[in-house]
Amino acid sequence: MDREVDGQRMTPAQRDDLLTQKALFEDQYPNFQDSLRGKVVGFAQGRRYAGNTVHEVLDTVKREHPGSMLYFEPIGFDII
Amino acid sequence: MGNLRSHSSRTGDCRPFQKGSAEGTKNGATAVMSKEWLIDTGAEVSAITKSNADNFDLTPLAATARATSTGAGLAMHSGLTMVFDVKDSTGADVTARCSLDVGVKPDDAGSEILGMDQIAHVKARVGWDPVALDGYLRQ
Repeated sequence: MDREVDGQRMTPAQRDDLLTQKALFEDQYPNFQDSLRGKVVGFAQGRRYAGNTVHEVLDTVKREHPGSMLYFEPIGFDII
Repeated sequence: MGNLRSHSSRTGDCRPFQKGSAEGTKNGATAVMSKEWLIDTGAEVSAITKSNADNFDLTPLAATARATSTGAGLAMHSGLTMVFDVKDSTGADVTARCSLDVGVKPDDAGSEILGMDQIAHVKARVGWDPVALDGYLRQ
């Protein structure tokens, strides 16, 4: 994420928002690592989102929290 | 002859590639970069290298620390259009443009990836013969 800031593709505030959401993800991971296996799970504005694809989760967050950053991970699989 | 081929400069690479371009803006002006896309059926999202991303003004949306089994991260952005060819029902190449949000790699390792999200979005199919090094993207 620091490289994104260095490359001027992300502001320090957006990075800090992402790191806050990442910390929430890691804190709550034990609560959903089994039940949401195979899903893409993310956090934005302190709220958890899950979907079948990255785009599905992103579209929901863009609709509900325009301009907010989403931290996400695929649970139990890779996306590239 | 299809519209997918092996990499133009790497002999022995049996993966499918296609020459296309990336479109966007940079400092308010139109920016177009020629690219050689890897057609990656193992990629759920399309992704470009850091250096390629530097050519465009992109809007950050999301990030993950774990996009791959090796733990590489990925940042998702809007603002880029991937341009590639898809054969129509007559076998003619038609230019497809897809502006789905795209991943930006943390470095320049690996290829510029045209993933299954964009292939699905334009309702194309992939066929590839890794022996003949010939294949297609078609409707």
